[in-house]
Amino acid sequence: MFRLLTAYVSCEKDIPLIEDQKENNLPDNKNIRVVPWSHFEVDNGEIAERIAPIRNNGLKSRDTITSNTYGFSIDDSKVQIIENDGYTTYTFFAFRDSVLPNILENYTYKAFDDGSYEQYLLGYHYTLDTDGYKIFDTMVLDIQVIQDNNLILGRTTGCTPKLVDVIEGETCVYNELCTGNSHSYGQQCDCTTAPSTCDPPRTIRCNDTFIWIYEEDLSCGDGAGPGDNSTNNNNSNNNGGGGTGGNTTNNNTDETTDATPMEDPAPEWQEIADCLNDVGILGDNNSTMLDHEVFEALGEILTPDEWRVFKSFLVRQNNCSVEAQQSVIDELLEILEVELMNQLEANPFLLLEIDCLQIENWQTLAQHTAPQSVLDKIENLPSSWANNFEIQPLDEANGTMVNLDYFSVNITTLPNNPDTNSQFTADGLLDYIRRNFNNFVEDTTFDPYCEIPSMCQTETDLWNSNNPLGSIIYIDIPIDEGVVVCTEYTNSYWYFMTMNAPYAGNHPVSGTRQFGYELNLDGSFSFFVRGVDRFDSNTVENGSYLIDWIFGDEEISNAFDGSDELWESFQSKINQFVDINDGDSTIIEATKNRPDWDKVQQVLMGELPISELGCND
Amino acid sequence: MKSNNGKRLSFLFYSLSFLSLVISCLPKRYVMSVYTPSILGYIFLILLLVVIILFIYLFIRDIKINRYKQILERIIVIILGILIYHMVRNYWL
Repeated sequence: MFRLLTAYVSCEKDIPLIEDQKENNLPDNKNIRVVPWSHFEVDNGEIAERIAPIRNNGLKSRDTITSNTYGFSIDDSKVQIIENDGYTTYTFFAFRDSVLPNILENYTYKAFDDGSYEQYLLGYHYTLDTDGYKIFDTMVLDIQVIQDNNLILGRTTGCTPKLVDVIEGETCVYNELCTGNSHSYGQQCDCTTAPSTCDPPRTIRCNDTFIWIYEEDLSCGDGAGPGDNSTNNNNSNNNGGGGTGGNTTNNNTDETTDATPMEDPAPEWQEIADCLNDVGILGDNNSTMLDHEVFEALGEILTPDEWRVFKSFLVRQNNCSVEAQQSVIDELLEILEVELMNQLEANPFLLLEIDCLQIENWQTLAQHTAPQSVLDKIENLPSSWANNFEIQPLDEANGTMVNLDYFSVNITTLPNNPDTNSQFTADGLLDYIRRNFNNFVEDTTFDPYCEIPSMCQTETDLWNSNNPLGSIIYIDIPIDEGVVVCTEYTNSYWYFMTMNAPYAGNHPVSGTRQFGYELNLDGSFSFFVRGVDRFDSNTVENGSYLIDWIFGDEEISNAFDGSDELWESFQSKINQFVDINDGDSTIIEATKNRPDWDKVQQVLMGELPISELGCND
Repeated sequence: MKSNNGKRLSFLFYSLSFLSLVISCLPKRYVMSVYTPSILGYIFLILLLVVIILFIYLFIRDIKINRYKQILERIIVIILGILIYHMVRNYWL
């Protein structure tokens, strides 16, 4: 026995795609898409037109198309599309006023590439398991050829298709736009991967499924009906009723059709949500008491049977009364709370927002220490009466939270060097940025340390050399003067560590920042700045919080707001430079995580694995 | 003598409150550097602290001598200040 299509299973993948990859490059042999009617209508105008005249003839409030002959209706809010060589099937969930027990019905429109078509009503037999999930019977498939002129013009045939095989495999559904009922088609959304409420646009969900394969009984003839005047080498549509599918030449060679159940697009909780939100509570008819996203989250927790209990209590027994609504809301919220508590108990870092793609890079920076040659140099530098040169390690800072950031620019075409007018290499561009760093930041200057005159020339020469390891840089941030030292240098990146220095004092933050580039899989380059740092002083951190709270525009106070602006200016300056010099670049949205240091310290310092933060090792 | 002290402190409270209000209506860039508050930002934080201390001191003092009218005046001034601050930040800046 098996469970099929109950919920998307653990093998799900959320694979961001770029525009031109969609549909045809799905990582599976079965290309299944589930799209809303509005999208189907745009892409399949001819088919939609055939169906459109009889839309809204359906039952009650559902978007339905009714077949009078067969007594079923089609929910056209979602259309399942399966593409195969030679034909495409468009499948709708079908339903009736009187429910057929344990049969899930689908209406399938099979459109051949040559313009002919066939229609079927498929019946999948199932039983319910103890939780109310459907378990499909793979031995049976009811197949009825549609010849209903009121639905669309079908064909007549003497042959009844037969189930020939059921195969097991992985099918992937491509979501062109945000899924989830709380997001209307075309709407962007911030949903994340499961167990969230929906899938973001341009993602693929894969799941193990069964595919029923059926074909016409070829022994009973060629399947052509009365009035057929076509050359039909397959079981293609033709009819005597003058339908658009008639009078065609069908050279299809594929005799079989693939099908997989299209379940009711309306989730189990829909009726409960409608009751709570449409009727309202406590006399307020316009109020939305529970957002759809809450229901979608609950959908991951509650089984179909549990939803049916709520539905029965609320709708059937209490006719959506105010008291019943309140009772259901209380119960649902309590379930959510308990679930959250359980998950937090299992994973205390659940609510921490950490970018798993960057965590290992941040770990490297957090654990970075200056090489002995740099430490030796610092040791021998002159000092003032107030300060010595001294590196400020991340773990000796006093800030409550740790800043983990990553600002990058994707460069698809490297720019030309404005001095030579020849195209930069990636190494060359990074070197150019380093030597002209002040042209790539706003309101702040980075210059070799000259506060002690005897050091000025040495530091200037070192910074402008091909290997600036150990170079000391004075950052003139108004009020926030700070000094950093280059503690690692390669052609593709360098590190700055913050330090205490004479005539500059403590750098406001302690930590390490990396500047560099990475080669992407598609051949483009990401020029980036990545940092791990903490406020050196907790008092200053709190003062910055307070100022940001009073003067900031955003609801959540951010003590690193100024730092974000600085590195965003770095992004935009690189972007401008590249574009002006015949290159091509795009600013990538910055990644900024600011968890409590105490919570992530052990992971960042390598004492605990990153799986502790919910990331895969 | 005590009454004069009270008037002076009350005057100081209103003056510093007004100054704090003016600074709080400035754009953020004037009070915040990259990581830390600017000099004006630090001045503002100190002013805010002094205003709060003065308010509490005068409140306790006026409660003791039953000068409720002055307490009410100061509360109204603070509420007005907060309203102006919100109006400026939400609709102007």
